[in-house]
Amino acid sequence: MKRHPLTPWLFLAPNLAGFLGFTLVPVIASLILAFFSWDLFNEPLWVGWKNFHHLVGFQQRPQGVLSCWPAALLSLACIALGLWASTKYRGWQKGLLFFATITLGTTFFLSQAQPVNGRFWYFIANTFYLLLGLPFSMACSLGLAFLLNRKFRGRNLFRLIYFLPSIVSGVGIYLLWKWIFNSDYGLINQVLATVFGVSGPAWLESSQWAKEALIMMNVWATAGGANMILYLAALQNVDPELYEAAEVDGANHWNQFRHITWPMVSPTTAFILTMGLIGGFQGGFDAAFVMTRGGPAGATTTLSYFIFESGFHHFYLGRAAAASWVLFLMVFSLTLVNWKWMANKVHY
Amino acid sequence: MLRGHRLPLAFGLTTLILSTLLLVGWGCRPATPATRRESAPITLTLLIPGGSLRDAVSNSLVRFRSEHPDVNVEVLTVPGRDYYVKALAMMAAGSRLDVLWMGQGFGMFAARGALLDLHPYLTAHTDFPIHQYEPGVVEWYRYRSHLYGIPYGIDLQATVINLDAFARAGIAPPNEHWHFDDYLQRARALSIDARQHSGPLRYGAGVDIIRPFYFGLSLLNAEGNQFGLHGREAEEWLALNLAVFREERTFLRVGAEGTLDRLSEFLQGRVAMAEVYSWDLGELSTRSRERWQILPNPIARNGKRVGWGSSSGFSITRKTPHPDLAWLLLKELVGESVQRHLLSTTVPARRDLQPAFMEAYPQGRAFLEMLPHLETPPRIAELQQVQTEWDYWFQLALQGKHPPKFILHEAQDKVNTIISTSPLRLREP
Repeated sequence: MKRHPLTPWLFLAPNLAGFLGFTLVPVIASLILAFFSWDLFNEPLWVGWKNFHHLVGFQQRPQGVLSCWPAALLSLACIALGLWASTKYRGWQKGLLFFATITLGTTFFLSQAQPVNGRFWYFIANTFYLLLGLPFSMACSLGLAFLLNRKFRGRNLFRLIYFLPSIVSGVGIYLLWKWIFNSDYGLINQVLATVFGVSGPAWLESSQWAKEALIMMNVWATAGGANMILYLAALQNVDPELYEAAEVDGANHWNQFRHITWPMVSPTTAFILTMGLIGGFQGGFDAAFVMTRGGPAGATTTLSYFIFESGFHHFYLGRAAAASWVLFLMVFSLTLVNWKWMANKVHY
Repeated sequence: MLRGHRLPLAFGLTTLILSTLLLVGWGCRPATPATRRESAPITLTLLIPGGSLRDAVSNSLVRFRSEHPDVNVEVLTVPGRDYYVKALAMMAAGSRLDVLWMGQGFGMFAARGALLDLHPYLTAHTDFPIHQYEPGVVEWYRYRSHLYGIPYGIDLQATVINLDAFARAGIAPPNEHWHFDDYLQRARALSIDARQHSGPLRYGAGVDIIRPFYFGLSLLNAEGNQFGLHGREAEEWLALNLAVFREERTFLRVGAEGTLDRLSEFLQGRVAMAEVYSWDLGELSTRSRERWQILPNPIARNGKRVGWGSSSGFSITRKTPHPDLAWLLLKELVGESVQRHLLSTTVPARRDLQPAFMEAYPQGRAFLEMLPHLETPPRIAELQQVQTEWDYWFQLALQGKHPPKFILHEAQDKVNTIISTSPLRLREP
């Protein structure tokens, strides 16, 4: 039977229409919008690269000798020269030279130029900083999965308990932790005062501790969730004969973990790491919105919160769209690096 | 009859048409009255922030509907502190709004041209008793010679003191002639430091910020186009905030993360003095277990008494398809019945109703005494941005990250940039 060439397209049409209407067109529109100033009420005003310049641009320092472009070219030349020179060495010498030239080039550039919007870079740094919780969360997930993979009474009950934070509403968790972190009557500071006799920090009110508080909460919330289940599934797929053989060879528990378990679960680790990085870059909004409103002094403002605030609080739609594209480029490039790096580490 | 190989094609085509219809239908805005049949009833959409206003509005709507049986009024409620941005987003997105509650965010709407000028209606409907409304409060809704709202209430701020806390501390309560330095001195004396006592911490006063007007300053200049906190007084003022909130811990920064709201902290006895607003009167009267008194704000260091003030009222959106009906609804919403219903939350905007307020809440006298001394919120489109920016620098000052001089210099630079580069101002001739 001969099929009409349009038939598959027509079957795909409902999905394609939704994709075009709700994904592709808005994505392209946001790219166009990034070059406009628009407050929703008045007609968009063409501003060219100004939105991007306002976010990630640099300007000459008051005490700088060179303007931005010559400084950038010089520092790039310095980095390129260093990288070329590093190819002549091997091992730690190559790494040291590589690191030194990048540091030198960047320091030189920053001595001549300063960011137009230093706070946006601070928000980028916040986003990266909050990602520091990811390895802790992954380690906890693996540890929990390891424990819950053993046979003991009430195992299913514990699996359920550890999975609970994943099925509880996020807002509920944030409100609970807001109370736990309260500096006057919160659980943590009460315990610190009663048991250790020390007065705890003002967790969410202090720019020094607010990020750490959010990291702690995120580790708690994500350690026993989907990541634990993924690790549990990965552990159950490890062939028991490998452990038996290792035991016969006299390997202790640590060596069994290091040489059997860890390589065998590495595809799962790679998956969780990639998804965690992407989610981490895009995340941080809900916790900041409920717990800190991005404060104190922007200490918990992540890129996603900044985009929301610019777009829907301040009606800088163009700037918010530009920030979204900056975020996309960051996620995209980091995911590429991550894949390339993981390709040598994962054992399939 | 369709042949075998035509069947998938027909199925696919039908699916495409259906999904397109579904998407188009979903994306369509509600039909405007112009496209409706003539016989269909007219619906007005009213946006309010909820709370006690909802009951007052419901009562008025019963009367409005009895007078206009062919008009439906749909009430939308957007509670919380994001009322203004949500209302703006709804209007910008083309949601049907005819009448909306208005308060201190008025400038954000007026400057964007989102509201309808009410002058022609006031001229045409001479029966509306605008002369009975507090003139200064009506003027507050005037923007570039257009009147964009009518108030029903005046929101005023004063200071409430816990008389029992004063008695326990053996400190004489102040009288209405008190000065800012009396206030400061008493707050310091009333605070109990938890590090030395086993009982709960009590703060001398609970405020969001020691307001700049106590130093004769304001966040923006009178025209609302320049940052207003500069000079030695501003540095002194910022240093005082840093001292009382962070170093001494004699003031509780209410509303900050980790604290309850201002009134709850006062009612629970954690703060001995607090800023109080006219909308707190009802709750204060029914929930307080200790004796309290409301005083006009202390006299500022420049010898003037100043207090925060704003207004609650209603406006009509510029794009309403039924401006005449919206005006009738607005008249009802700012009328006597709503003002009487809301005596526990706001001072009536009509002067002839203010004696009723005094009768119901004798303690509210202090609010009326503040009426001639108001500092109203700036009426600018960029209010939200300016407040966020200033809040950032103020928090940074409270964290002790930079000295006050640096903070004020940077804040001035950034706030002035926000105002001068605003898309709305760039469009101005």
